[in-house]
Amino acid sequence: MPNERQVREARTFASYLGSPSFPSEIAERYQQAIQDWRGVPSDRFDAWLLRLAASGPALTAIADTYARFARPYGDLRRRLTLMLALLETHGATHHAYDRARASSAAAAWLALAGVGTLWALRTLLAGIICAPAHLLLGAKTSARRSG
Amino acid sequence: MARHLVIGSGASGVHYALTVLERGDEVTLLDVGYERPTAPLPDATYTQLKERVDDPLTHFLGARVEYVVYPGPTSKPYGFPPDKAYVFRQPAAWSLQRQGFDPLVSFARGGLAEAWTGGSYELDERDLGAFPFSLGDLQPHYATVARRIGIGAERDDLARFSPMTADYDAPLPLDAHSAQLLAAYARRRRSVNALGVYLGRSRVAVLTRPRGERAECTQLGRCLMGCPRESLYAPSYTLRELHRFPTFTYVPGVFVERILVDGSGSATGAMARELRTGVEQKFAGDRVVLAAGALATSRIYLSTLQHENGAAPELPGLMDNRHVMMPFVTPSRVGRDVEIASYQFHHLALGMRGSSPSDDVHGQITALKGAQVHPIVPSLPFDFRTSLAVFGRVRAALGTANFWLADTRREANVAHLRVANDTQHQLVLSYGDDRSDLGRTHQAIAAIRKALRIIGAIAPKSQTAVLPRGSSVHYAGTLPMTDDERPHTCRADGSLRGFERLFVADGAAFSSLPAKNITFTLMANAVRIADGAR
Repeated sequence: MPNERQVREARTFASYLGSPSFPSEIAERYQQAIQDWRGVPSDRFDAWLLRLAASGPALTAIADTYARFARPYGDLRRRLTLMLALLETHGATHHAYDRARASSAAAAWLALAGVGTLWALRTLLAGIICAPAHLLLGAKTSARRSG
Repeated sequence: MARHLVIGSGASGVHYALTVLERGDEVTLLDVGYERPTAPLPDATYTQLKERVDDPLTHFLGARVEYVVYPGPTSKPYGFPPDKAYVFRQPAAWSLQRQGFDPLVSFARGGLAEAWTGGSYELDERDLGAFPFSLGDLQPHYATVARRIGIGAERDDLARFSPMTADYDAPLPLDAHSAQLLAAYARRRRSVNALGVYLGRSRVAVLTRPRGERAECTQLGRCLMGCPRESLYAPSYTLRELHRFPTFTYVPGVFVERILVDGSGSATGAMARELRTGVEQKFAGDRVVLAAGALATSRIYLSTLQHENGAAPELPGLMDNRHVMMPFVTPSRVGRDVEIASYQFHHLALGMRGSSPSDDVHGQITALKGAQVHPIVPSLPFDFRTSLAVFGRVRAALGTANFWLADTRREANVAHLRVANDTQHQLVLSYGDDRSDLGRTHQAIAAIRKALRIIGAIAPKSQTAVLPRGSSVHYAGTLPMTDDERPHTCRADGSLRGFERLFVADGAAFSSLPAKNITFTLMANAVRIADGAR
């Protein structure tokens, strides 16, 4: 029985990772793998990050950028890793990942500079959006755990 | 005709067996023997396989996607595919307690070398300083093994560390990144050598021309999954060859518990338990040869002592090469294309000579080509989208230097047995002295990082990892060969003191652990011991 929320989440994450269309079995395996995760630690902030990320590819980028620093091994990064593994393995989607982006050296360095600039801006934005929630939910989680 | 009872089908066991079978002796080989699955579409490249295999997600990631490598503090930048699960599968009877030592153990047909990367280097006189035999005693057997398995090599600066007395084939063509690094080394050799670092082609047991049932490497990019053309040597190919001899009997599916010994201390056979039924079976032989790998051999030996006289000694001198992994980037290759379908493993090797043999360093340099992306991308310091964009641009510029330091036998590093009951024996491995080589490890890291910089590659300090003990997969030294009459040691011919007709043909009998990959020497030494066991 497909979980509609997880199918939407899978679609959003695949789009974020560069594969807006993908075979249905990828979504099925995505759900199956998540069901198999037992005891993966996750708190209210992890859940909030996941909800934010699943809202659309642009917000996935924000949530992921913050998670890379705040929750590098957390639920969101695990789900993105899982989706990347599925996309790079399936015959219909692997091409985007089994290659290098060849260009002249100058073009490559220019592209890297552009990517770096965007990343810096996104990091700033991610901090503004996610840090208050992190403070609030992280603090509540700590209080609940200590209580 | 002597009857040899060989325990284990790894690199040592199969080459011992082949040697004595060739001269007309009889061999029974006992093995747990988990089998390698048949590789689908043997001529498909890594990427073609994703498009043509029935269910690529199951083939590459497992039926429940359980082979995904998730991010974590100890995650590796690669994962073994489901096809390699047989190499690391363990029977229920095997129990191991780790204390500062986290080894890989194999019960596969062919043993741990079913998952090796083929590095094959002859030792020199200096490496054998602690062994009770000379290089001249070993060299003819390197030639025998090289003839059997096929090794590609080239005479270059590394000949100063590793002689080339055997017959070698031409090496594989270099990938573009490795060729660039080697050309840079040729231009700046003097500066690199001033650091004590020398570079050359790695010597690899990969065929560049067909040999028997094995085909030459056509650069499919499936090396990590297990070469479907059998170009990259694995001991299971020699095991297959053994079946051609009518005097060979292979007994898979048994777990050897101990050696059978008569009242005079002579080994008469082995007691094994059938994995499927749990039934005990006895196997007889005129000579019993332990070749189960250093750790499993230690367990069988300790269980034998325990059963015979209740002794529970510690075996000191457990060795394992210190392993350092140093990822690097070659900036001048940013933006270049990369050939995904190509030989995945190392093309280059490095050597450093220390002030004593125990300070020597040996390494292999692998340029990144075809590889799973998902274990690498999350380790970059960005979000996934940025990481994928960066990775796509720098992929052709990435590589890793893996290098190893020599190890010596030390009292604090021991193997012993914990006995729960008659059938439950747990091998306890304790690596107590893990810090005494840290100084020379960091010296080696600094020198190799500088050497890479000279040839145009940058190795970020934050990415260099000194891996935990057990990572090198080169285990040795618990029953060392020595001329000293000490208990729990072997003579130069591999015979164990305290017993008659019991031999050790694997790494347990090594007297020291050189920095160079030891698999080629394990095979040559097993041939040497077989040659002497007449």
